[in-house]
Amino acid sequence: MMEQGILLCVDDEMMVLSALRDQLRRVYDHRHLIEIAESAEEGLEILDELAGEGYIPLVIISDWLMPGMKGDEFLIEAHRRFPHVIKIMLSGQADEEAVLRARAQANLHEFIVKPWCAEVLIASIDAGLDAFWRREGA
Amino acid sequence: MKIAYKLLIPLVMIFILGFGLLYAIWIHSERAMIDAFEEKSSRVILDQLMQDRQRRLEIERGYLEFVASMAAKVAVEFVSNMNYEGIEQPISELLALDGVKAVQVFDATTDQTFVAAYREGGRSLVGTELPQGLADYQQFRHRLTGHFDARDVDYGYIAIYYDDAPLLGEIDAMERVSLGRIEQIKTDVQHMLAQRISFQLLIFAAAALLLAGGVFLLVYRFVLVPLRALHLGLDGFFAFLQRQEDRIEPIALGGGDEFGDMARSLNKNIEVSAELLQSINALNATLEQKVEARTCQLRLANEKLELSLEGGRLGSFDWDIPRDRYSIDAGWAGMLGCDLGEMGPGLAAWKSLIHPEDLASVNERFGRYLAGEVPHYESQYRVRTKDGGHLWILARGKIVARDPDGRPVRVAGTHMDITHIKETEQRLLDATQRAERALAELQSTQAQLIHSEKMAALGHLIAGVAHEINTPLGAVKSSGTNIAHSLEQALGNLPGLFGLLTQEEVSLFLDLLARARAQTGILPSREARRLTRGLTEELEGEGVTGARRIADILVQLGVRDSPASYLPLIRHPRSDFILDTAYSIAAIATNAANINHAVERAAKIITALKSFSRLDAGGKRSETDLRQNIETVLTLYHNQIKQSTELVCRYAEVPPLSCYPDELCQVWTNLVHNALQAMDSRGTLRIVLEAEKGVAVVTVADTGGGIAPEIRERIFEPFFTTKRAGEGSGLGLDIVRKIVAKHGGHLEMDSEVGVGTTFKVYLPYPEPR
Repeated sequence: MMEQGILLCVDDEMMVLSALRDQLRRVYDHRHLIEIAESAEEGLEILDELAGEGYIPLVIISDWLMPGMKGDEFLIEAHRRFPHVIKIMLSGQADEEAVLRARAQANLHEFIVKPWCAEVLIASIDAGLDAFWRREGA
Repeated sequence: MKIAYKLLIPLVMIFILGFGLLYAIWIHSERAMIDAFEEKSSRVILDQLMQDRQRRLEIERGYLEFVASMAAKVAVEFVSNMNYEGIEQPISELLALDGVKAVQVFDATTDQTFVAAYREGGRSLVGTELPQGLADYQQFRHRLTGHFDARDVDYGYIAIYYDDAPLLGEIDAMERVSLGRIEQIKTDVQHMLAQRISFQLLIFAAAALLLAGGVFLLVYRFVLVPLRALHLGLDGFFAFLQRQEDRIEPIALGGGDEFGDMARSLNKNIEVSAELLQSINALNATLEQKVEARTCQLRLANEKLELSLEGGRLGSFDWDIPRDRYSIDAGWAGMLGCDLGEMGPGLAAWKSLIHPEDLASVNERFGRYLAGEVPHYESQYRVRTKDGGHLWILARGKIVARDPDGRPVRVAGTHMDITHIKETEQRLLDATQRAERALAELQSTQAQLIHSEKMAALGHLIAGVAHEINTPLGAVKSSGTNIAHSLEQALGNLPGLFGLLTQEEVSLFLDLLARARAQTGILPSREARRLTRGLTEELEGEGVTGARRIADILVQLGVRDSPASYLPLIRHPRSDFILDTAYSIAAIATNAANINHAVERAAKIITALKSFSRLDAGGKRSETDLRQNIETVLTLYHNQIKQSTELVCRYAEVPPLSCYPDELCQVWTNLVHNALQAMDSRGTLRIVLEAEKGVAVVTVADTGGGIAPEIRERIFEPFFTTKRAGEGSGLGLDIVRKIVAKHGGHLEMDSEVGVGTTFKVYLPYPEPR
């Protein structure tokens, strides 16, 4: 039970987080913990806290345009702390340079534009998780 | 610097010689002093030696007299007793004394020598005879006095011959040693002196050189350098005067000394001379130019004249009025292409060549001249050439003869071909018209540009608005799907669920649903996590497995504390099924609320966009709430502002203003856009709305880089922009100013580099009628 993974959603809009949480819960509940954060800073806090409790950060879905730390910076920092985690950017608008930066420095798994399609998001997460488990040899 | 070398050598010589002299004098006096000292001390020593000698000699004499007296006392016994053998012993002892050469004892009673002893070749001879040659020695004689019958009896005397030569030799030797020592000391002093002199000479020579060097440096710095500067300056000035130089540098020499004064007065001279020269040059140049221009004019005029005449552009006419004979010269006629013979002789024939449109004015002018109404005849008109074309001519004429009654009988004058002038005039006219047309086009282009500026501003917005719209859209789309799924799950689960639960559990379940429904709004994520953590701990305390997930669901369902009351549901064998069902039912409501929220947000943005896009409407004045008007724009910029900009708004309660609301929107858009760009969206954007003395004042202030003073005057000029090409056309502030002016208001700008820029828009309320 302690080997549970974490799926973390970061967005400054609660409406997006709320929708995402229900969407992910439908697929991954009982298997993984689904956490939401309203800012990049809060996201990093959650990752550190839960990793300390023995959870494995698996997936991060982050908006780009947020007050304070931007999505690309956040994903780069998250990558530094948890290099294996699958990073997805979900944004209505993102600076092209920022996406390139995230790809280069945070090993960005996918960039998905809002409004997004649940199936696409889930498929992307699954693909990432498959690769992850293969890599882990589990 | 030749003078430097000339100066340096004598200076060194003078100093060395001067110091040499001083030193010679000094050393001479010192030597004299030492000599005097030496002499005096020698005398003192010699005196001392002499005194020593005397004392020694006296001591010796005293000693010998004492010996003689003692010997006399001894000898008197022997003499009185006539003991010749006994005396030999004491006499021998006397002889043994140093320097005693002989001893004689004379017996007065016998008047004979009692005993005489002397030394010869180291032996003592005792007898009664003394040898010859004792007179050279000193003689110490003492009377032999004895007592007989209480009276003194003289028995004779004792004489000791003493040789003082050894003593004198000893004293001489000692004096020689002393004198030798004194001589040694003198030589030592001389030697020391010689050594000192060479050292002092060295020091003096060095001092002389140093002093000479110092004096030279002073002279160099304060005399030679200024002299050189003056020399160079004068050289430069002469070169300038001889036109070898284009410009002249003033003499670089300051200071308050005479050289400085000289340099300043020279500089003044140079300055004046340079100015004079320049003005002379300028005058020369102007003169040359004028001469050249005049020559050119003359040449042109000459050429023109020649051309005119040669080319037949100038002709003459002559009209004999009484006979009506009108003639022109042959060259001119050839130019016009008409045959003189062909042309009739009268004025009418000439008039037939004049362009019908011009004929009336020619007749009028000519008639008025003949009637004496105008002093000159001059007229411009077209004449037909033989090939059917027309030439413009300038005709000038004069009455050259009158009859006795004063009536004109002959008129003569010139015709000049002015076709080319006329053509030029026409071209000028065309050009002017074209320029006017271009201006009109430009004005309409400007209007178009103003419109496209508006479109550009809209373009800026659209990128940001995309995010603003896509965010709620994404939420709506996902929440819609979530509702569908939740509904499906809830409907599928509900029938089975009630079969599983006891009456008590059913009421707990319904209670849970009621709590979920009672929730208003969505909890912030931090708060939700805190609650989850609390519930997890409590549930773990109750020994529930998977506490965290259950706590998470409970918090979503609106349970804030005491989760224990739901333990029957949580511990139920199908607890997952029960809780999931409850969550699904609740999710329908939360997702629906989420949709409502998102739609509201989107609607707000659409409204703002709509009011923004109606800018062109030309519109009508309407009573407008300025606060709402401003907030429409801020809504559109919400996305850009929220990133890193702090937005500070202060709205006073102001009465509605009769205005063109859509155009004012454009004013706020431009000012807010500029402010955000100036701050690179990092800083504080301050919006203030207030009213004072019948004027509404809107302040838009940023904490950006400010506007440089040199371009502050220009920022309102159309097409002036500090933005990169393509970012703005430079019409924004021009539009703002026009719109504000349209409202009868005005605009104030205050900017400080590095602090920020503040725009104040003053919009007057119309006077009440």
